[in-house]
Amino acid sequence: MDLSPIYFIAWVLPALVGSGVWVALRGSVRTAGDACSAIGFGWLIGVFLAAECARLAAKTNTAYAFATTWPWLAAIGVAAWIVAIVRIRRSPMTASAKEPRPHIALRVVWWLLLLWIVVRLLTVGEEASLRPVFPWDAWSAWSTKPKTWFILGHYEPYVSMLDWLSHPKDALRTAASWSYPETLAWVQLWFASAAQYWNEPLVDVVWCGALAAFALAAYGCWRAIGLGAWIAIALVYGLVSLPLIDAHVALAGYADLWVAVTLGLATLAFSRWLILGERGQWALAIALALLLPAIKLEGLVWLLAFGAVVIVDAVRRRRRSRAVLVAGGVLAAVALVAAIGALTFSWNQIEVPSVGTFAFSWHGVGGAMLASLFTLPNWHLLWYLVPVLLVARRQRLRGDRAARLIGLMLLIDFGFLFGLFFLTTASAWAQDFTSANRLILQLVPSVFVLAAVLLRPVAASAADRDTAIPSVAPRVPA
Amino acid sequence: MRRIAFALALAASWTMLLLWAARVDLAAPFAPAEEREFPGDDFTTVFGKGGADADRLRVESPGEAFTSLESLTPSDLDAGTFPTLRYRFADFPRTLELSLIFRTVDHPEDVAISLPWPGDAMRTFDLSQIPEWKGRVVEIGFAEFPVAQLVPPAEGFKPFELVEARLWSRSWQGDLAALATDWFGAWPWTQRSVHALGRDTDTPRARSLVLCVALAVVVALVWLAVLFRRNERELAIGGAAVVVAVAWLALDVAWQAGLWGRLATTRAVYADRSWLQRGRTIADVDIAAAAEKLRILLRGEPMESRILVYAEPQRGYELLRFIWHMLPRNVAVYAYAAPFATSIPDGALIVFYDTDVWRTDAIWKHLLAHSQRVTASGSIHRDSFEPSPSVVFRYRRGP
Repeated sequence: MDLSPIYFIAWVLPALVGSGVWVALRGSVRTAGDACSAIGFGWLIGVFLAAECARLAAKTNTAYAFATTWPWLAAIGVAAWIVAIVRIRRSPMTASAKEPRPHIALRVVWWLLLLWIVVRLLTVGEEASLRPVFPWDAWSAWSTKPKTWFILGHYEPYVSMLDWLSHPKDALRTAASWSYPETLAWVQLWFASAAQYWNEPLVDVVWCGALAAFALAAYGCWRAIGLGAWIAIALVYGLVSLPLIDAHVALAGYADLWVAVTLGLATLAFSRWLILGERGQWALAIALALLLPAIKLEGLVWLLAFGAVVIVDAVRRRRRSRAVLVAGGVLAAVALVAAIGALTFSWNQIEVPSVGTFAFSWHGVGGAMLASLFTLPNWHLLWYLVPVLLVARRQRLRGDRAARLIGLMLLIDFGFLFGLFFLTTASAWAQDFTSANRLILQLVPSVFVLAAVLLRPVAASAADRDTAIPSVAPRVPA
Repeated sequence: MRRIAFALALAASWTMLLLWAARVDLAAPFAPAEEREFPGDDFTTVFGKGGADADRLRVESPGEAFTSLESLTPSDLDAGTFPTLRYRFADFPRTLELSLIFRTVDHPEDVAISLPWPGDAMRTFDLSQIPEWKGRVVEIGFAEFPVAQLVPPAEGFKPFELVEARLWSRSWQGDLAALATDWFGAWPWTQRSVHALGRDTDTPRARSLVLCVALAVVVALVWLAVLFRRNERELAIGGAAVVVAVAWLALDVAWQAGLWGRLATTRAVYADRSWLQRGRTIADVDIAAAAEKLRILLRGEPMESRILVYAEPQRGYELLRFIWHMLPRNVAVYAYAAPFATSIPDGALIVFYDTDVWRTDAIWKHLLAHSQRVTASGSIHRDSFEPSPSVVFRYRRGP
């Protein structure tokens, strides 16, 4: 069986639709890097929209999820592009200064890094596209539902073992991962149904698309907030070169990379709002953050940390209407927690439904954590350089609102991980080198966003503004 | 002048760092004082078929379970005297993994140590990190088998040659060569690769390349700070940036080489296959075949039928793979249902995968007392003459 042309459409359509959404929110495409951002953000937004449309429209014919869903997605795309075009026409033409042409050596560096990034993506993408799903949790958890639904031809809900046993006549399913969120399952169904048969290599290669799209989005965003082209691409290269991230693309199937890029996109959009004052980016950041628990359960923790920072930002701005919106968002998040199942606390333990019970006590996993971060070949020199950068740019970290807020979010996130690994029985995940690195991976793209904010030119962040005034003059696209 | 001093200081510091990383014994000679040579044709094939070809051993086919083993019995070989192993193969396929196997008087049971893919070049391994490598060596050899969980066993083997092996006494040359093999050797993907790279093999490893590169950067920055004055701050900052960039790139080039090595393994199996064939080419063909057999047996069952699969607790991987291959049947792990055993509905199917506890374990026999064995009508399975990987019961609670 050959590759269906529809499969290619399944890749292109989300980019067309999502970029329309992004441009509609942005209102123009005149800043340096906007084209990259539109495609990068757009593809991931489009894929998530496709998944949600499929969830709504294709439950009864999952094998034809693409055929059922694409008109809906296309309609969203057309509407988005109409809004985008109207907004572009209405937006004032801003006279913008052309960037000075960089030194020839920097341009050579730029091209070499781009080439190296492409080589890396091709390498890991080919690896993913050759083999059926390989890593343990990929097939035992994340691909179980889409494979079942696709071959079965329709959706059947996954329930707990007791429910499954208690209702033997009902079309119910169970698995250890029964309570895992299902967005990623619908992403897989979108591509599998476009391929027209259940083919794991064709589904897994989408992980490479997620990393490539984030790389594009990040480059565009970092150019827009004032970073020079070569620094922006150096940061993108730094991210794409990280071995554990590459491993998650090459051995596609885990959800961690999707959480990482989604949180990363939310942080990117939030940084644009903080620095450039683009309101659409604020809404996009919130929407992407709200998506996190729908990808993986721990996304809820990242959402809450993100929500806390958004509240801090809104309070600082003293905008009541926005604060109300934010409060609504937090309430929604709390409702989500309740929906997933109430956490059970006692004085010495916490029970997280579907995840486990974690007893509180000190666990000396420092050695394992240090090995994970500093000696094992997972992160190159990232965790050596991050503290150096924070110290070197400590004044920026204190004085710049964007850096401070993103730094606060990451502080909460890493504080949570510290508590999880050092204070609960989840320390076993660090000790046996299993989940610890993967949870850290989920935060890494956001760490790069913080690095970009800290590295942007000084003049671009001179003021710690209360109002949303662009601190970087729009420029002609590079 | 300062730049020359910087270069000299850096060269000296990095050399010391390298010696530390390689655990070089400063008292040892540069070249090994003692050496034992074992040309390939000194080895004999224990599993598989092969024969001497000039002074090499050519292995033509694998033995049972697609594994081959070549070994020799050395005379008067003291492990402690020879802590450095050198080995060379030719035409070693990407689809095979290599292990060193040895027995000593102190450890008469086989000790197996995974080695990186050997390629065609001479490789070196530091045996002093292996606790069992002491006393008189009784037998030493190499085992080869298809890369676990990645390569379909029947497709892993291709003929190759064992060119030679050597054992060296401690030397700088041996320690540095072992470090190079460790840092730049090609290792396959494993299930642990998505959790923590570098922990995906149990083989004792050399000091961390990442740590050594980081220390090399720190040393360079210290020398920059010492040798360059404040008025040369820009030069120093530029130098620091270059040092960090070069260090990162060095690590990344090593990683990219590893990625290409892993990709070569995957390409060797999948590159010439169509998309459909890629999706169906799996390493655990036996488990998939067992699942297919069961699917055929149960083809008359409604899709809603609950199927619970039991396997021995130590067979968790095989059990979950069996369930994966059984999809989209309505199948689950019995162990998760065990706490709710009283809720198992009448008519549910209980499958025993590769275990006979259903007839040997009293608890199971009691649980299945009223249940009915499911067989294909007229099947030889009914009389259990043909060993089947799975046995199925239709659960009945009884009166």
